Amino acid sequence: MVIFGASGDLTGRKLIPALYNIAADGELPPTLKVVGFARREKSNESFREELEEMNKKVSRQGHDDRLWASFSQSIFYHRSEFEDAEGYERLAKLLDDLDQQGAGGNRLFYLSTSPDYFPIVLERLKAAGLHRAAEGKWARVVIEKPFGTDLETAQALNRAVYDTFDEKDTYRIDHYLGKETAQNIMVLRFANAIFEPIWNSRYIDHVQISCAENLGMEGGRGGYYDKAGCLRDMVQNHLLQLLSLVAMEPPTDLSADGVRDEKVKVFRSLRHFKDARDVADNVVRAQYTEGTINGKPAVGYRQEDRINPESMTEAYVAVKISIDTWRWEGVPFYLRVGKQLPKKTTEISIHFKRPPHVLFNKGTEDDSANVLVMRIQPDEGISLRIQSKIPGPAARTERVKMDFHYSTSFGKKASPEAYERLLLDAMSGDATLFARGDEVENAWRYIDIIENAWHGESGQPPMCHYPAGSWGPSEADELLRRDGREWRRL
Amino acid sequence: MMTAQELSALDLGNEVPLRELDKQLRLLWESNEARTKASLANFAIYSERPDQLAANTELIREVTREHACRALLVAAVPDAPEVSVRAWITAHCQLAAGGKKSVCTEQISFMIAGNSPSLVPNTVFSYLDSDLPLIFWWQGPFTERWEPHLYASIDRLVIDSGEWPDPLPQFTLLEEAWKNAKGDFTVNDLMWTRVLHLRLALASAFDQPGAIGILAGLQEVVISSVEGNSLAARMLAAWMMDQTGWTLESGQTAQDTFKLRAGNREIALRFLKGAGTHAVSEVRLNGTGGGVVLTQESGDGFIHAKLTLGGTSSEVLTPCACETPAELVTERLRRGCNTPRYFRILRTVRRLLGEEGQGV
Repeated sequence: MVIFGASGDLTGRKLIPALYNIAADGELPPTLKVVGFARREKSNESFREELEEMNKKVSRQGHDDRLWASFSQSIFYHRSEFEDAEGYERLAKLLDDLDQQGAGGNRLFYLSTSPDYFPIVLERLKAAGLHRAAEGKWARVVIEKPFGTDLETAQALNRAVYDTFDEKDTYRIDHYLGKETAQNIMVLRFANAIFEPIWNSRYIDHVQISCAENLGMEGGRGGYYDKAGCLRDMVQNHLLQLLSLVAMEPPTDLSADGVRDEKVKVFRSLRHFKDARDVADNVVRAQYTEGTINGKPAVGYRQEDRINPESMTEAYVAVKISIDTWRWEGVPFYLRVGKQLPKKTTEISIHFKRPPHVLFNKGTEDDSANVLVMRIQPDEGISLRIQSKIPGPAARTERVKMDFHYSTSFGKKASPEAYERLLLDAMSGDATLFARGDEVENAWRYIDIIENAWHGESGQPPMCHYPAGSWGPSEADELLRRDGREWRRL
Repeated sequence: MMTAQELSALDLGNEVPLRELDKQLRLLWESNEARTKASLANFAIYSERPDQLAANTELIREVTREHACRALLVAAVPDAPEVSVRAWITAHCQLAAGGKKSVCTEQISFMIAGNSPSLVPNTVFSYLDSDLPLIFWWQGPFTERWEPHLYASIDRLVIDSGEWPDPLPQFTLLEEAWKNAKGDFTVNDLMWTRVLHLRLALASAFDQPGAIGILAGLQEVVISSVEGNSLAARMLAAWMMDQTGWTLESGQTAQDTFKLRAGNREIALRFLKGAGTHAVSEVRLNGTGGGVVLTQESGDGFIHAKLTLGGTSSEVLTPCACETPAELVTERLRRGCNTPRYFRILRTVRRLLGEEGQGV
């Protein structure tokens, strides 16, 4: 496995700990060798030491010195510029040498560089002949987000990928899909007979997908974020992927293309906004202003490190999405995502229709609808809100919940990190949890309309504001209120 | 603001950095697997008197014996010069299943200083258990922190109107908020709960054969309440009026004396000062056809309802176990709440407190 951009945060914080934990579970192929490819000067030893320090901090199952000593002998460092053809020749030689030491001949190239380098890395891999494996072996590429910044760049990147690798050997990673609860959406829907019959517009009133972060631009993220914005950084990939899992039809089988075919149909069924006015009516963008979060004062978005003081980049998005299918006719999907909100949480909530008030709570506007919640992170699990009678002579009801926690039911070590599952899948050739080229392009096709309205010549929808530490702008509340609904309390 | 020494003397549990609160809560439960976490509601207590933290912790300990909940104690110091938030976590455990299980509920305590807008809801409500109802006890009179962001999340509001020095403007704020929230929260007034068993006793007295006939000849209602509980007496009177359809003639005829109209008859309503430990010590209904006397003696766990009808007397006992704040809240949480009816009765209460007109 070759990690391009190995001196970046992702390698130490996610990729190596994922491989270490796979090793701790005894599931790591013993022949695996990991080569870090980056520009900084480092030795194998110094690279391993850096990774060890980070692994001690973040490893899910803790850090065992003996296991690390064995595991780290499989880690190597290769210094090269990404453009340097000669560096790839040396890489090929290194990989051949490792094969001689028993590495096995399969190749997994992990592109974790700045997206600007994706095309050149692909091109150089091809030029060095690294994109083709030996007879009976495979060569695959894993590409980190963002996959393009709009439809045009995503299409260009897809062309660069297809020029080097086949689609079946291409793994566009979206780590949300590797989370247990995201994987469990299909299990919940299709392995339990009670849900699918009611999973439609007859019984479901609306769906909410919320992704709240209680961080701002710490750690120098501002430079990247101010170029990307919340819509591109989160909605185009993570949230639309979650939406597709909730909204898709049952696949014919669980093969990668069986599942992804159905997801693509969802993306193609998203009702596109007609014009800037339509965008303004259905999408709220916002930046946070000065406020208080976790009991401490927080600066506004435009005062953050590496953010343009006149930035028009959104740190919060709420959008009402309509899906034009028989199943979802009249059922809006409300998505919201934002920075500097009061807590960190991601969840999907299915809001069922209210029962008619013929027996209980007559004449009141009580909150009696059933809600099924899938918590993606943290505290992964599922809960169902139901109504129950309050003990006593009066026929009054109150809501209670039935709750399933992964950590309680399967033990706190049971949930592997998303990257563990995804890396294992990429090694074993299962692309089900990775985005296909047409999925990505269709998602961008939808997002581009919003971006174009926001940054067009005229009629731009307004930028709204909310204090850091609050639950977002009032305009986002209004988006639901005008439909007679409200955001779920997270 | 409490000193560090005073704070450390309180049994609030471990102080944790706010950013790590969820993680520390998880560790709290993981540290002892013999404990079972139970939670059927979020129960928050808000006070702008930090010295209440100790008493409220004790109160939570008592309430959670019957009502498993995630408890959030909030001590606010709005006039502090700088914004700061401190948090503590602890668990209250009770033995269940014949002593075989330890069932626990968690308590998060916050000390919130400074007057940043919406600081309380933004900080505290991030730690709610999402799908469970929020029971929110606002202690003391409403202040400027009683604002829409706060009450928008509340499902059941608990107040004790008996602790308000000047209840009329407070009732106005309460009803405005309730209307503003489109009736999304129910109002659970502990003062209303204080007279719950008197109401039950009085209603039971009239369940006896022929007792309803007393109302036809009723001439006088006299309610005696102890110092500081005149509101309880007025709530009881207003409830009786709501039940019977009596109306209040405008204005007082004398100090603490009112004229009620029941069809074409007049009934005198008088409030007297009583003695004892119960909020309302005695209720007398006197008339030509007989009468009813309710008495609550200090130290007696029963309300005695003595009915006199046609020259014969009978007595019925009704238990009255609710006196302490913990008992009142525990009792209140067992029951649902008819808030529109509460406000309807409150209009009468306001007039009995001297407000002219029909209220807000």
